[in-house]
Amino acid sequence: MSDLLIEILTEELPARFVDNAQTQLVEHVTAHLDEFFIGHGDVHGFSTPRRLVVLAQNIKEQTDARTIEVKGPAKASGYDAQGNPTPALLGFCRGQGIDPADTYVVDVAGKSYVFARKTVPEQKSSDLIEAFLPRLPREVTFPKMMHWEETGFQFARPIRGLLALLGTEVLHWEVAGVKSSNTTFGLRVGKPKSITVTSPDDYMRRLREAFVIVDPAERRRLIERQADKLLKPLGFKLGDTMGDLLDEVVNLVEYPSVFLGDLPKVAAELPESVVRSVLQQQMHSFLVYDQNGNVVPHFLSVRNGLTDFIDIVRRGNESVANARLLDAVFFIQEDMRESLEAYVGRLDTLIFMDRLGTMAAKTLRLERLAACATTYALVTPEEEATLVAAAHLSKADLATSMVKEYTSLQGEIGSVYFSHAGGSPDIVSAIREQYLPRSPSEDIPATRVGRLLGIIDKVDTLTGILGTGFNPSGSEDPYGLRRAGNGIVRTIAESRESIDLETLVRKAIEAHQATGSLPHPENLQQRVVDYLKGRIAQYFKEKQLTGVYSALEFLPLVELATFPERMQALHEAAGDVNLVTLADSHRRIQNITKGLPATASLPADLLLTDPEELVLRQAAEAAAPRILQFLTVRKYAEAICTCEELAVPVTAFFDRILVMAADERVRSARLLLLCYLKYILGLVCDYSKLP
Amino acid sequence: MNFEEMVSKLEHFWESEGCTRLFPYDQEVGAGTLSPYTFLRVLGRKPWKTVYVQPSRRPADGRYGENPNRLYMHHQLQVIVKPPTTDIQDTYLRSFTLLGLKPAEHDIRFVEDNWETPVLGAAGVGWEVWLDGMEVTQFTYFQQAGGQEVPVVAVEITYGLERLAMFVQKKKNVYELEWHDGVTYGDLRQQVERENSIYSFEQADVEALVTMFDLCEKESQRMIDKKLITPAYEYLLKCSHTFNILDARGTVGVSQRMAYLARVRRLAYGCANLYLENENHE
Repeated sequence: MSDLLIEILTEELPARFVDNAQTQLVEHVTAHLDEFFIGHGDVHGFSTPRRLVVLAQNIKEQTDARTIEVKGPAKASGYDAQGNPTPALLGFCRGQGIDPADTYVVDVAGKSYVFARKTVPEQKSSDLIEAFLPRLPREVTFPKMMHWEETGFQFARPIRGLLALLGTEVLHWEVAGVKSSNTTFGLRVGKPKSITVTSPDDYMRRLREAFVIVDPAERRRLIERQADKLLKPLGFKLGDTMGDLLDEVVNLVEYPSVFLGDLPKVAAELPESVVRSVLQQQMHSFLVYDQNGNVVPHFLSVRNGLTDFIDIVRRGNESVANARLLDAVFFIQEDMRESLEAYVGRLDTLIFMDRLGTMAAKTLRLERLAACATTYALVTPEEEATLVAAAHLSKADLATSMVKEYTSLQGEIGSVYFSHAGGSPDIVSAIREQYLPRSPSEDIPATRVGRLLGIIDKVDTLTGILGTGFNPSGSEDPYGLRRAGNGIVRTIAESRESIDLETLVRKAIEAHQATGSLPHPENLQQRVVDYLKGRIAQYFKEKQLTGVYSALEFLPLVELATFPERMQALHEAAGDVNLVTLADSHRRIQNITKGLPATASLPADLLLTDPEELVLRQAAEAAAPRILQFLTVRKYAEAICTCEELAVPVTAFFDRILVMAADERVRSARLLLLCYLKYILGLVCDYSKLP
Repeated sequence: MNFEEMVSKLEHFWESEGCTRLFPYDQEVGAGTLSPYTFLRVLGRKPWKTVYVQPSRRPADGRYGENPNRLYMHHQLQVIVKPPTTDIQDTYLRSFTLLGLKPAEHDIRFVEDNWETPVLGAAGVGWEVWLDGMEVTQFTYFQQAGGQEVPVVAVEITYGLERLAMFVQKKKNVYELEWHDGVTYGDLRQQVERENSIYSFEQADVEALVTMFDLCEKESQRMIDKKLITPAYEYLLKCSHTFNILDARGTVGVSQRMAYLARVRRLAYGCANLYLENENHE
């Protein structure tokens, strides 16, 4: 047994592609080994910005001989009327290298086919691996591909070397004009020197000597440890939300050396968010904080290479930081010559979305939606007025130089400028919060107006884009619809504030039609609502609450805010005996009343005479107002408890009463009673769907 | 090392790598890519290697000669290698040593940056190259030009000469760069920057420029119809620069902007098609 090592050496891959490409490559190698019955141990993946590496351990030298069953022609075409093999069957046997006498017939799905067993002899693993190697790079896909040489081969960046070793044997492999060998290259320092690798074990060692750490997890640990070593003695630390940047930096370097730079003085003149954006986005560097969470005048950065001459690198980075921050100061000073209001006037020079008009039109729609907030949200007139004012200014910063330069500062810059101009704090925070949450790890807006502004903005986007006829299927999300949908769902579910999304969507469609045109308005209300329901289902799926969600999904969207509390109450009631009975009864009620509407009240003269009927009616009519009362004050545990009180009378009813009585009047009375129960139980959840 | 010395070292380096050394194209362009030495020559299958300096005008980036980093006109050193050699990145890195920069003493990174010039229907995949954090070069593999996939890929290496010189001379303000011993960048360029900024932000006659655009467009199209690529392309460049001034003047609305870009693009496609037609005849 020996190990298999594969390396694809490339020019610098985009950092955001590396992890996923490594995963894909491991999956494909594993699949191919299994496909060819090559015995193997663990398959590991490694990567750097310049290489994708797979190490498959304990590859057996050869595959075992095995017997397989092959399917031939249908019996009807395999044998003629006399029962002799036809040319078709003879051809099949020749192709498979078997004797026609060794075939047999098997029924498959009601039709007879000729089958044969054949023996596949042992095969050399190296031959089989060489056969699948050329497929590997082609199977790895990237969000953006390129071509660079005459065959037009597509990859994320040009492939410059291939290494394939099975033990000490170099496997033949050729892709895009590159031939495999047992050599690779180390870190780019000075003249490139090729490194000869004698075995998979040797590979990691030789690369480490050439200043390449192929294991991204190890690079991450090194960065964390070095950062700790620099920061701890000073009592400093990195911020809490540095994870995404660290992920990126790990894939920007082959050999990390962390250094601490001095933040230029000009940083003190800028808001922290601006300094952070400049450092993170333009320099892949980290802000540094003291134990109280205050920014200190340093930044942390990671060099690709050794610590030799790191002072030169540090000084270079400090001077770039200075230039970039000065640039930001310049932009902010330029921007602040005018009020935020002045930038609202320039939004007609910015396109919101192709076919959906300008940002000026979007602003008008948001103002319009804000002005009718009372129709879909529980807001005071004061909050509504604040929301309208915030909506008016919400997109203004998109026309500023600062946001044109640093797009991720949208919202942030508007709020900084408005606050500087003495704007009302409620509006300032709403402008900043409208884009939250930008990622699954980020919090939802803290203020109510911020949450509402964020939701109407996202609903407007969702409605508009679906209204262009865009079909959001597949894994791509070019317009950020998924993020918008997830943002809406998270904001409502986590704030637990009721928003009548169905009404809001209707208003959003009207707003789009008023400010321009929607190319595809057909069935739009339903499409947006369905899309949102999909995001809600996904939200609870990720929380592993799919089971209990299925008991709530029939409720209208306006109830989304109550889902977490309903789920909590159902979770607490999970052990109740009555709940199980109730689930069963709810199912029976639904089955028997299929097609009949739920009814919210019973006529006084309903023809019920048997004691079980009367007891049930009495219990139901007593329960209904209490349940409704509990729901208005969002006491779901109590509401469920009250429903459970109906478990016993319902069971007794089903035990003793024949619903489908011969007398039509009796039958319809009993059905009506059950329709009433269907109504009552359905107020809380669909018990029949409980896991 | 002063500015002119740096430029000539880089030019000679690429010359020794087999590139034809050319002079700047004698028209206003927004970037070295717009020079016909790049845009037309990356089309088709013919090999092409060149190096040239191209002064590049971006009216909207003008800062009245007051900003230490931003300029109405900056200088690019443009290198085209078509088809690219397999060690093109290493060759590029070697060019740094001529400037007294030893790669082992710095942090040189290739950071993903894909580039496109919609007016030319051109797009490429590549990186910006960081030297100790400073972006000094755009390194691109052409994928499309004139709206079509290129049959033979060209590498375009665009050095930002001011940025690089600021790094080499350790200057924080572009106007303090030594162009020639005793002659600063400011001596040569600051007044020009100021005047051109005033012109494009405040003084440009919008009506006249709109007329000029129309006239140049017409003339370009007329030459396309006559199958005369060079004059057709030269009038396209005039359109492009005229539009850039209009854009800086802040009078172009969104839909208008898109319409202007589409008009230039139509001419670019026309020129590209003529060029390819020509190559196929040869």
